[in-house]
Amino acid sequence: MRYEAGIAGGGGQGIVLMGTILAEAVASDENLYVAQTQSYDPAVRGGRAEAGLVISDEEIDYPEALELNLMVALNQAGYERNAGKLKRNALVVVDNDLVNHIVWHKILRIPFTAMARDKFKDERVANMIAMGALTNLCEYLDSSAVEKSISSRFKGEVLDLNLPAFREGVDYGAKVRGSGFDSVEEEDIEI
Amino acid sequence: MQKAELLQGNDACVRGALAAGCRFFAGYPITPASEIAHGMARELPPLDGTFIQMEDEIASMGAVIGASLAGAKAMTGTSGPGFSLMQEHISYASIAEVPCVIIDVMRGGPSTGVPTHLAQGDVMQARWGAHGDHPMIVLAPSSVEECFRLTVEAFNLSEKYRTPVVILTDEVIAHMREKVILPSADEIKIFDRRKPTQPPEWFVPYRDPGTGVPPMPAFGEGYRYHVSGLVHDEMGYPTTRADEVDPFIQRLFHKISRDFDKLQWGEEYYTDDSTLDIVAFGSVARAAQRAVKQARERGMKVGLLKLQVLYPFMRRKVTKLMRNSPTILVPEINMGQISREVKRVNQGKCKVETLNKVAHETMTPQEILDKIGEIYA
Repeated sequence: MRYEAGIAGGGGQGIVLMGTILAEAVASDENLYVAQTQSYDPAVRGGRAEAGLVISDEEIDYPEALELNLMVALNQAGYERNAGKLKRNALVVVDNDLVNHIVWHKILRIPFTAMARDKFKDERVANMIAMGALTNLCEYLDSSAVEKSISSRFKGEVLDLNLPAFREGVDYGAKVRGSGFDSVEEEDIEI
Repeated sequence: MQKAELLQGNDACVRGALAAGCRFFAGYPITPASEIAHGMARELPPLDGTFIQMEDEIASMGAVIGASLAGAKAMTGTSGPGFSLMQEHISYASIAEVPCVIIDVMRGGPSTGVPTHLAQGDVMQARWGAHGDHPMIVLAPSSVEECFRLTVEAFNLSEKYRTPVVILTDEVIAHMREKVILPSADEIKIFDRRKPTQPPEWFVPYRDPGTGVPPMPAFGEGYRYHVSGLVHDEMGYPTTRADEVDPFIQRLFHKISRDFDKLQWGEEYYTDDSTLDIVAFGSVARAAQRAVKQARERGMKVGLLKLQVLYPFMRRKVTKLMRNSPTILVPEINMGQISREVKRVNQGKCKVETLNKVAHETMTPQEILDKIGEIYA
């Protein structure tokens, strides 16, 4: 088994942090190996930012994610950079407001950034909401393991901001999955 | 049994250094090596160690040499531009026989190059960047676990041979996180520099005890001696006498080359019956591992030798492959640096093919597989 996920967006969106936290959660499963890679531009904000996750039940030879089972894109450029790496039937999860032009089948649009802004008054927690949602969309991500990783990384008011956002994402993901993707627009476009 | 954890390559180097007994770090921040400095700044003070951010990499290397002379296991971490600045003092550490470890996380060059992307362009610099004829030990991890293990070994080798040791990683290996189980302290072998046993008044600081490595007291322990970048006699004072200069330089080389057979560290995959062998290191070795597996699935008899020691160049293992395989393929993210070494030791035994990529992007298994297909065609 080799499962590959790519997380893409811009500098400042917490892309690499997402990769790290999710990888740490997967690593806590004693039956799974995980490798997480990252790639970013020198610009702290706005540049290219990507994280890759390779999950396997055997030791991982090549650690980069090149054939994605899952793509998460938090901006349009991130989506476009990775669209060519998608496997057939890969799941694509995008930020509703920041990714506008999509050509692929099996897409979930979730307003991560808008939710972060409206509910938590802080766009920075969009990545936490996204991670929460992902725990319902990727069989190798366990929400309690991810929550543990988040809790070990932050403390005080930073944790108080991030953890509720993550839980919001978990609830949203459950709702989306429970309703069979009905609550969000879904596209079936063969390319 | 130690616990499994998710660890970054740079952090694994920090953990390896601490496990080996490193208690001094001087450096200057640079992408993609900064996490090494971050980790050392965090971990050293609680261990009564010293972290110091210097004004530049020249001073950093100077501070590392000073700390080592004072008895500490010392290291620095940098990337290409900083590594260039350190070369003068690496040369000094080599002639003055000061144990120290330098980690160079290779990024795209030359100069400032592509700071956040990987390359493998510092291989020759690691070997020959410092001026003058000098020996050099260069190690190259290709996983997070190896970052830990080879950093421990780098300290052991530097202490054993009284010589600077370079660890070459690249941006992918350094920034990658992998699930690892690190060995516990009692599973790790540590080598500390030998100290003189005779009384200070009988101490001859650079006399060869037979191993080529003179014992080394720490400053302040009562042994007075002269440390110099000039070629020196047994007492440490400058000399120009041919009958002293020649054995001195010979000893610098021989103290390491006499153990050459012990420094053939590499992992082999499917090399028993291979007709094409790949020689690779660093992140490219990981791509090669997958490519070899995929090639085998298609019935192609391809093997892989993953180099963990780049210098002294592992000619024992490489030439063994050359005797069995008609072709060796050397993929690397530069215009051909390790392939030069492979060609140097080949001497007509087999065909050496190269695969070079300088887009400062990771090499993919598919690219190597395509090249394998080309060779087979």
